[in-house]
Amino acid sequence: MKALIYKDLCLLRSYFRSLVLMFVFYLLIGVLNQNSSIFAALVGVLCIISSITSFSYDQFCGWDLYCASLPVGRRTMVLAKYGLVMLLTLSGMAIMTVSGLLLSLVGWGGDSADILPGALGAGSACCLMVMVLLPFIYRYGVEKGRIILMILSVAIFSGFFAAAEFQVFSGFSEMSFRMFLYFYPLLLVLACVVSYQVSCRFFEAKDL
Amino acid sequence: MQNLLEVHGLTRSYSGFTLDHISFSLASGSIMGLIGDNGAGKTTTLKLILNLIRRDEGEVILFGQDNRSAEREIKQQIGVVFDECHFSDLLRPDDLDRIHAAIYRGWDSAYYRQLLDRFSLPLRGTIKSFSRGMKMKLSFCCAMAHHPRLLLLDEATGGLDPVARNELLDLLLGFIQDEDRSVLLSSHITSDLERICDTVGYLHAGKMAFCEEKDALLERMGILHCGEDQLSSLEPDACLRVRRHQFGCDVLIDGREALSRQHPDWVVDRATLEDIMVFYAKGERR
Repeated sequence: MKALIYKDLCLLRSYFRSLVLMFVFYLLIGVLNQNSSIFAALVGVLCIISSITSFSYDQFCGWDLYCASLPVGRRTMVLAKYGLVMLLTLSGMAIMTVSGLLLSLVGWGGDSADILPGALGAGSACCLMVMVLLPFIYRYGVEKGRIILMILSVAIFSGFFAAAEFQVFSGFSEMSFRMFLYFYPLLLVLACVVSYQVSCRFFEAKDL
Repeated sequence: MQNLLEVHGLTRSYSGFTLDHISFSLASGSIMGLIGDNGAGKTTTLKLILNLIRRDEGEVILFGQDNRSAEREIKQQIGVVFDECHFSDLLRPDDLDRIHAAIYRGWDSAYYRQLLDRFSLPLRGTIKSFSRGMKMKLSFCCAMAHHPRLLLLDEATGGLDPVARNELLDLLLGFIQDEDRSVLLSSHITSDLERICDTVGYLHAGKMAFCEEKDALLERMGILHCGEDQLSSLEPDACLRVRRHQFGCDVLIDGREALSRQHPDWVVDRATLEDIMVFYAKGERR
């Protein structure tokens, strides 16, 4: 599994170089707005876009066919992708946290108490989105996966917008929100497990 | 001499094509060629052996074990080269060294670099800068550097220039010097197979038309150039396929020497693998 994650990181090498430029851009915006929450977008790019990009690279060169001929096993191939997503998400959260703290220390980043919750929220939300997306990619391919990502994004943002518009959450108490936050990690773990099992089922049934 | 690979009744159906109960075996220390026209089922056979596609019927025994129940263990001893290089252009040969070293227990980095040197492949350059021939040579390096017992090559020499093909075939001949190793290669470049194979299997429309020792096959097979009257006097068992043209008939026969002794005035040429393929594909039964 380590070998496959290493392979994906090698492929994303040049992509990460362009992410450095993106980071500088976000840094400037953060400084101008006195708020480091913009780095949440970087978490999204690292977690979601980079993961899909790794699938695109594999599809373009037919890597799955070759890899399945190695003594790796299809479940390990799927596990490596999930491992990559986790690694990218944690990296994004770490960058967001460190950048936010640094900005906060020099007085340009807003309230430091919001940094870690912000990073955790952004990372877990992006991770959850990828957990929903990955089985679709294994079942229908990368191109359709991108379409599903767009549909998911529109659905989520529309949902939140509608909820705010119609004050759906006004009926919930602070205790309810706290309970949700306490159980959210469990929900995330459950989503990961279910997503992985479904992806394995799709990939093991696939003719390469 | 044990069989490294045994295939029994291997079947896979698609709409419009069926690989129909293929059976053959590959002894250790030998090279077997799988020939057939495009769409005959060569790649399907190799993919079924590697469990890349599901079989409908049959069994595949590799190193004495079922290819599905002991898949990961078996694949430690197999090297595979496909018709195209499936490494991303963004990778470098030294990246592949680290990747494969973490996958194969027997990966030999020193031997891998030795093979890269032999083929003049740079260690640090990206694969993007490689020509097609260089990419195939890189695929060979990756397939051989863990000292496999079995090499599976799926049209691995197609699209290469004669010099590159020759180089790779020499590599295979060197590989097979160890009696504990075998090679199964599929190709429609019959001259390559005639040069190095011990056994040849011919796939036609999903069926194994024959699977025999190459030298014995080529010794037996011949092409008789004759007219219809000579064709009618020919024994039915000897006549495998007929191709008629405006000047007469060309007949693929079994038992060239016996026929030449029987009819010294008849014109009987040696058949090549290519001839045999063309007759099976385009010829008629008598």
